[in-house]
Amino acid sequence: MRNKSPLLNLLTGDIFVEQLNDEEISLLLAEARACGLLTRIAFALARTHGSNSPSSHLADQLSAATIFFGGFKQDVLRELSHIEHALSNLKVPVILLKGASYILLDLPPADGRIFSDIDILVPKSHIAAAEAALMLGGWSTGKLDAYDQRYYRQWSHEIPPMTHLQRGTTIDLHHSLVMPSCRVRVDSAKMISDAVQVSGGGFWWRLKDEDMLLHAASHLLLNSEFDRGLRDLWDIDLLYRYFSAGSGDFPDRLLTRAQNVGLVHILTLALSLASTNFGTPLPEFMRAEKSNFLVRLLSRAATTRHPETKPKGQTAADIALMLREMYLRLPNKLLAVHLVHKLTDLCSAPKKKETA
Amino acid sequence: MEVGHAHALFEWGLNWTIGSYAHNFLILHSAVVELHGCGVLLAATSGSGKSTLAAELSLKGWRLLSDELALINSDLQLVPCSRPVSLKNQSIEVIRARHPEAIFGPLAIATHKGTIAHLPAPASSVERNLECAIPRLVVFPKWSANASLRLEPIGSGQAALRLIDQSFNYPILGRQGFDRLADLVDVAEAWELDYSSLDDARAAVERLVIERAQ
Repeated sequence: MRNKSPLLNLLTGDIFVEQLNDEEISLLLAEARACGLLTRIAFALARTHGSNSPSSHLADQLSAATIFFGGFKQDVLRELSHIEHALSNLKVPVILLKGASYILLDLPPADGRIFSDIDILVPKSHIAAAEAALMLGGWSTGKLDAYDQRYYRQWSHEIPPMTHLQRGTTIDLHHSLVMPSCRVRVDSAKMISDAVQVSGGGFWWRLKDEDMLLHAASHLLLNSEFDRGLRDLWDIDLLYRYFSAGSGDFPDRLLTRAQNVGLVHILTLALSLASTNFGTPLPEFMRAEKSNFLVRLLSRAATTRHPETKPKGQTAADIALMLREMYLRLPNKLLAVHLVHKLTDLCSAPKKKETA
Repeated sequence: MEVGHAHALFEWGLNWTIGSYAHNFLILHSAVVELHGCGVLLAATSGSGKSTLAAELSLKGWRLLSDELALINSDLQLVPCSRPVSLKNQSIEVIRARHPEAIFGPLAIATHKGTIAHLPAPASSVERNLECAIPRLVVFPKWSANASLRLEPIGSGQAALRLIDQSFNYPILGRQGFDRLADLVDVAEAWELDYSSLDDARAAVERLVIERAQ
């Protein structure tokens, strides 16, 4: 049976935009905004409908979103050239990850994907040099309390976010693709050492095709940022379709690679969720068993986030998944420390507000 | 958050929504009025008296398109966004004293911008809310106490630079934004207006318009 979300029905192809009335179009736009998909929807509908939008109100919204994305893309490309300039003497490959790499490589998920940080990765041995070079370029980690400093510096796979003092842009500088202490043992080093230079012999490096998709999957499922979960699933769908179309053995290579780096479970979970929402054409061997508890939690979280259409129990699912993330990221002792710290924070937060 | 601020917040929320999403338009922080078919932008920073001047003009028979946002479409037309004029602090009393017949909405007291009251847009302006105007003049008003009237033309380049400072989405529009702004200052003469008397300011702007009508 159809659910009442115009967004989800549109994405699965259960309805076409022409069938929506004005109320439903309004809800579609609100849903798309709530999960960061307005610009992506604009691109998708432009591909299927050209400039013949069924409603002029919808057409206005979509063209405005497309214009917004044009400005965003320019900003990202300009920021990449600033980062390249700042890191030009680093002498090690600098790997561009996620959203910015989709734009640089002109991959399908780049279309309409808005993001707030540029994620880059250098070997751990060069983190200090990279951080210093970025500081000279005007980026700074700003003030963090002692706990957060230690969390990032000692445990995390990235240093604290660096924000540019004038432009306000943010870089996440990584040395690993997942937390080193993560309970899902991922061979991040193998993925990093197999990175390739972006064709044209430029400055930037990228993960190879399979690893790019595996990283998208692990990022979605080992973090708990589900307000952008539907967009991330769509990225995975788009990457899968694009790489599969380019090479027939991609699904096999992908699975083999996932086995080699310890991400089979994460991959099959992500692909089956993508398939549920976007009809990703998967071979049988890629499908995760349905009806498990985690899949049910994830499908409540990585979906529409609008108050009128979100599934029942979304907040509970979000909380459960956030606890799962902490559990996966941190070994028991660190987990205990982290939870105590977060709880103390939570209890003291209202007091801070009152005095402000 | 104060219940008594709800209507002011609602107005700011509408402005925010337009500024954040309506990128079909080049959006400038400017009041827009029209007389005799001449669209006039009153472009200025907060506190320079543009809303007060827009309120005064709208109560004297000008058509009000907006007191806050100039929406310029790809055909270089001014798209109306007829809503109540938001008056702040002393401006409320100034307009009330000059126009005792004017109706005001409830005061929002002690907001982060001070006290706010809303003056309805004239019914005749609201009726024409689907009708665009043609930009013919850009005026940069600046109110200061005891200033004598000064009305001087400024170059189109200078005007464009000042309008960029007053734009919500100029960088987002990229090349389109540049072209539209360049076209705007090409078709609309720019003037600087320093004043302390609303009567003088209105007379000066009306003179500019009448010289250009026909």
